[in-house]
Amino acid sequence: MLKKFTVFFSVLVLSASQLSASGFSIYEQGAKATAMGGAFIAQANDVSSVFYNPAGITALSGLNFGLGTTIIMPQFAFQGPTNIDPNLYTRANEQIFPPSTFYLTYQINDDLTLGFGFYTMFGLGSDWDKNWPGRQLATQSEVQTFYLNPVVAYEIMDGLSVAAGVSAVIGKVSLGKSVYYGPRNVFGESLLEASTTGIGFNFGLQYKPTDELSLGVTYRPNTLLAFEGGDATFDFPVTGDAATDAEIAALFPNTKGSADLTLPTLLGVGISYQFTKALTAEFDWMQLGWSSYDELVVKFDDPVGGKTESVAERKYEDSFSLRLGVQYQVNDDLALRLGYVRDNKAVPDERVEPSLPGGNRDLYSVGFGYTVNKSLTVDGFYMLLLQEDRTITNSVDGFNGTYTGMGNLFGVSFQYGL
Amino acid sequence: MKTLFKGLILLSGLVFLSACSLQDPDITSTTLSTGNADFSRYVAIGNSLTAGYQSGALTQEHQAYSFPKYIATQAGVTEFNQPLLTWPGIGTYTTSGAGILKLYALDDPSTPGGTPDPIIAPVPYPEGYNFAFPYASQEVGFLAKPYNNLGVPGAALVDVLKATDAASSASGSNSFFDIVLRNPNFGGTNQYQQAKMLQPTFMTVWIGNNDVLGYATSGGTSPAAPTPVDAFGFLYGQMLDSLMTTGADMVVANIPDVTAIPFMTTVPYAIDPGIGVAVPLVIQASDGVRQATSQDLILLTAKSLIGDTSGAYGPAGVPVGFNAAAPLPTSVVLDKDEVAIASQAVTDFNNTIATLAAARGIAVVDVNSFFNDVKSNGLPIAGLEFNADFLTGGLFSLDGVHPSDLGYAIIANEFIKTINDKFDATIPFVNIVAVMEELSPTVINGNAKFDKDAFNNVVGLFSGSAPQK
Repeated sequence: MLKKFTVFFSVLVLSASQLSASGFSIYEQGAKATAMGGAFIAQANDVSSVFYNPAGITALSGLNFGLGTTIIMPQFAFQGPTNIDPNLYTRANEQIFPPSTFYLTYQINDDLTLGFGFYTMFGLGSDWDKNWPGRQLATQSEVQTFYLNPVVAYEIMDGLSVAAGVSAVIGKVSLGKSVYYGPRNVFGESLLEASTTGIGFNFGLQYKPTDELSLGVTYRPNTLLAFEGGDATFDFPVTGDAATDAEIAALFPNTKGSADLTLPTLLGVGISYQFTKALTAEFDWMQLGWSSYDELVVKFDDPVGGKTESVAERKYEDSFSLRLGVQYQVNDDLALRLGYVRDNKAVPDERVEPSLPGGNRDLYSVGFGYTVNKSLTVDGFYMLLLQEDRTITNSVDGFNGTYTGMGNLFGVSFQYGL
Repeated sequence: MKTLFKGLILLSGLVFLSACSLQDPDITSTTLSTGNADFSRYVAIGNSLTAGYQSGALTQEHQAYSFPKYIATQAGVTEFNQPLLTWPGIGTYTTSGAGILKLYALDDPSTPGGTPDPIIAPVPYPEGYNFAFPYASQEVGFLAKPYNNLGVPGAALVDVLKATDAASSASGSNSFFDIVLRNPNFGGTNQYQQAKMLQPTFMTVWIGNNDVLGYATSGGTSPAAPTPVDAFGFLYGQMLDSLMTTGADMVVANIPDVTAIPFMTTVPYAIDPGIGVAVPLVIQASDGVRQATSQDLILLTAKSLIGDTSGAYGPAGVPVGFNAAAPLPTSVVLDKDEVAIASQAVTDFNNTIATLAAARGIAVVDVNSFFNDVKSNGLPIAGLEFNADFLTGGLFSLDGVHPSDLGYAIIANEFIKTINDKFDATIPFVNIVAVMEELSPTVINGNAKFDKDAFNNVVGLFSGSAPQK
């Protein structure tokens, strides 16, 4: 006769920002491009073009290999929540992420070039102490997507190339947070782990109307990742009372869950210009189309807390970034590079949460390219990520406060041509 | 050249790395300052809500989480004495031989499927429970000065200046006055006089709820009307003036809407008698026997009566609540006219409190607005959404009237907000998540055997008498 129970569970709500915030996306897929702030869609003139703009590989002759790693060292912290202590300051545990790349291109004839890329387009995480105030929102979160991406590029006419690619996308998520079972005053830990495979596509266009000017377009339609049969596990402390433990176990069964995630559409355009023989600059504009996703539905095989489905509203905004890069060729062997990125947030204020808080960012990069010999090139970069402090006052989770964050990124890439 | 170059890169990398890291702020948690308020001697005046009453009883396990106790802890008060009572406490079910209510099952395992059916019953007294001396210890019971927490469950506004024992209380038999005030040992003094004996420097005052709550929880029967607003205003002003003679700073709290508590909102007005469709209950309303509408409130106490065919509440064999011959009795229904009376009383009382407090420069904790907001919008705190629902909402205890341990913590934070504003203080909030971590699991205790039918018929939560407050 009582209202039907649904014992609340934040765990059902796979939070959208955990799974799709632009904060998880990694655009640092080659040291040369990244040294120029990732402004590389128009230039696209090394093996990492497979990622940035596959049309660019038509300019690479013969057989080329590329190998690279980026070391990403983010630091972030939260001050609040205001309803507990507006001054309480918590730093996330520092983690190091090493997304790595492998590229291959092979020119079949003057017009046709094949390529292959392996990279991690989303692959970050966060780690907060288990007893921090936001434990019901996020403790340990990790999202990874590996792309296996063959491409074919075709030079239609002198200066105009197009390319298309298909990717097998391997997605993995692991999300941990605490669950409070109020009627018994018990905190438990929940963990959702799932992996899946999806298919993605990428297209590129590069046009060089003059020797100095280059234009590029890159496009990735959205990619569906259908997570099925993921493991939802609940770990509650043993109370020592059999009846209570049985009640909790019945309400929080270890079960299977499924959810459809859609990685957003990416559209980027770039223009580069070679001002002098030594000096080249590029400007790119890029958009990630998050706004088409209004909700995220998670289904469980067995009811968790009386519910087999949870619907989380997302209401994201499209995010865009502006990228500016400059290269100065010191001599035949050495190039120096600078870059700047303005990256805008996708997650609206009320939905920001600590799994990996997004925000407006400014990124500054510096790097070099060095031609060791005819076949081998080495590129390196350092990038500083500064996130604007973000003060939330309208959190739907009751988690208002100020997020701060920054990151240091280092990377090196090798390209070897035969 | 190459080596030099690599060295430079490495060096500049290291410089960057050491320079570029997140700067911690100077202040990483709020430090206590009581500002212009003096918390040397803190006294709390009030009723069950101040005492820390919950789940139908007053026991030390939950008095430890009374809102004044939280405030005392947060404000750094070193001595805050409470009339701690030993488990399972004293309360609504004491005369039936049991203390505090316990959730024995969220959903009765003997009736799987269908609508969840919680089992809530009070804990029977152990053999030898000393009703004459229910205190947690000799030190507590024989404390040689008044308690800092002078909240007396069941106290009405008039009692603050008048009641010194059970016999002189508004109800004429509220034995909590004997337990808290311990007269004649304290010279036949009332709550106000005992507060004054402690020479308080700060007071919280939250009183007046029972001047309308009893009317509401008895379905408008006992008493038959809330305290008249004129009398309420006279008594409240008199009380404030008396309390001000102590010289203590104070804040007062107003009265939350009594029709918004789970006791009033949990049982729906239409129920499925087993035909697959919900039909409006038949009720004894002030305007006669009729079908309930969404404007009538069916009390939690109606739960065990609905569908009863024993003949105790109507002709034998006729299910109560589904037939004009056996309507739900008026004592378990707050019909729409009674709802209007109760709501008007709350509005009038709160306007009175606001006016009288403002005239004296006393800040008011607007608990009423706070709970109305929680009822409408829920209250998310650090990822957990509290709401005003029974059992699962997190704010209310098992009696559907009084807050839970967490509910009292949240109320304490509302007081702290007002105190900080008024006295330019920075008393840290109670860390709700830390309390959640600290609370012991409320276990079922699988060894406790109980006869479910006996509980339902004799002392179950849903069996008639309204919780005493």
